[in-house]
Amino acid sequence: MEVVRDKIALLVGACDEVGQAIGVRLAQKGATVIVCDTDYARLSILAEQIRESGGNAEANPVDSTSSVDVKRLVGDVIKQYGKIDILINNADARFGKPVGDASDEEWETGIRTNLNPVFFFCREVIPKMQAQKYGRVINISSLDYIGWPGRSSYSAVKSALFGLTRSLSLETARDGVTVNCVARGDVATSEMSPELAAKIGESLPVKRIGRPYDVARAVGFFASDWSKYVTGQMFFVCGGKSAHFSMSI
Amino acid sequence: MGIENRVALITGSASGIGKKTAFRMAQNGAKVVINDIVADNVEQTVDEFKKEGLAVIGKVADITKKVEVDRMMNETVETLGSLDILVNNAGMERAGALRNLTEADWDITINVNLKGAFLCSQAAHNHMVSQNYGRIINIASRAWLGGAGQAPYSSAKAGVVGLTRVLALELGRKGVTANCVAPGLIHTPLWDDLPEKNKAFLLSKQPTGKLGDVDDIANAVMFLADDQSGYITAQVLYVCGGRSLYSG
Repeated sequence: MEVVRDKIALLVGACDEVGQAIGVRLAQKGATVIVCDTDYARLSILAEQIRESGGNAEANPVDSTSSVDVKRLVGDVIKQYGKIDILINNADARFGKPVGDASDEEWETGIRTNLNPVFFFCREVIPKMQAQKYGRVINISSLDYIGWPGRSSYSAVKSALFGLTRSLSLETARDGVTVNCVARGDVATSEMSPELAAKIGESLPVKRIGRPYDVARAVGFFASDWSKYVTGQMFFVCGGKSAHFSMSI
Repeated sequence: MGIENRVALITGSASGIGKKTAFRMAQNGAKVVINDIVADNVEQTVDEFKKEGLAVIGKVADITKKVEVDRMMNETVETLGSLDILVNNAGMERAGALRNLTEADWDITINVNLKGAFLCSQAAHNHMVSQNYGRIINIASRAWLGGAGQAPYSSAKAGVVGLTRVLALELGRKGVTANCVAPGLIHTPLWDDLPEKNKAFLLSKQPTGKLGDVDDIANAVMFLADDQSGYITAQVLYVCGGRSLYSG
């Protein structure tokens, strides 16, 4: 099946459960995974878990809202490994209020924590991928992009990821670089009660809620050579929930 | 895990994308059913696969005829014990400006691409629902978004996308997923036969400036056909080098 052997993967937003699953999956398939997030203690535990299961991983903390720190990190990785083949942008901070209640600060925080990191990492990494004529960029978006009451700001930043992805895919199409979005639907985490997970699952066409592994598998496909002719796409991992909506973009 | 020991029927699999997909699935451990309307082509493909030591049987059927489709599905289950994966790949195109297209052009294009997918899905889903497991992968096309000179083909493939979403909604609770793979420009014998001028025009609209190959489609089909892809349904996976970002 799809492999990412000998690839160097930079995983941004590695500490949430989807990020962890992505890190484990890429390492299982042969990549060296540099796991990045703000919390060094949690990153170290994740990197150790990956290594204990036979994979290669390194923890490298970063403030992904700081373009200076992103530049520093990318420089560190290039210095140590000589290349970055795969970039996963999974930085995610959910937020939402009715628009009349949202402050300037909340709006700006949403942009700063969800969208700026993707731009900063793409700006640093993609030119290097273009120069080496190889790259896979996967931006993790959310089915929430489609629009929900009370989540206008969050929907806006997740929609923005799609526009960014499409534009970048066209910029890089002739350079051996693909840029795609994986949009996650409902995913059960350890913080979610079993009752809520079951209730959400029952509302979906497949009658079960997703697991972090479901998202990680799709990311593995887009990170591999199996998808070398796939670029500029938004791909939903959502148990069929997207079939209830328009596909106008 | 994967598609090992799964029974996979691929329509129109005696040549091109279908044949390569069938070959790759057999290499990965699936028990494969080759289907085509021409008996000699089925026989030849089955022989080729058997020489490679692959698990394969052949079924000759016209997928636009319900009687033949039902017979093919029933015989598959009788012979191999189940039907786990259906790839609706059989397709054809009659292209031309609207004013030049005939009723026959419309009928055959709709029948092979859309009615065939409907009949095969309908016949297969009975078996899949009874075993609470199935993967239906419909080969649509980037062209479902619309293309000048492609009225019947675009319409048929748009129908295939709609059919896929309906299948996903109806069958999800029974462990059956339904997805589309939408190829763009793929290097097949049909491409080689095109005039150079046409090739240059098509490539000029291609963001990557390159063709895809049949393995790219086979990879996407196998990803969606995998046991582990149960949370992916109702989706269109474009394998088109970014061509879907442009219309026309």
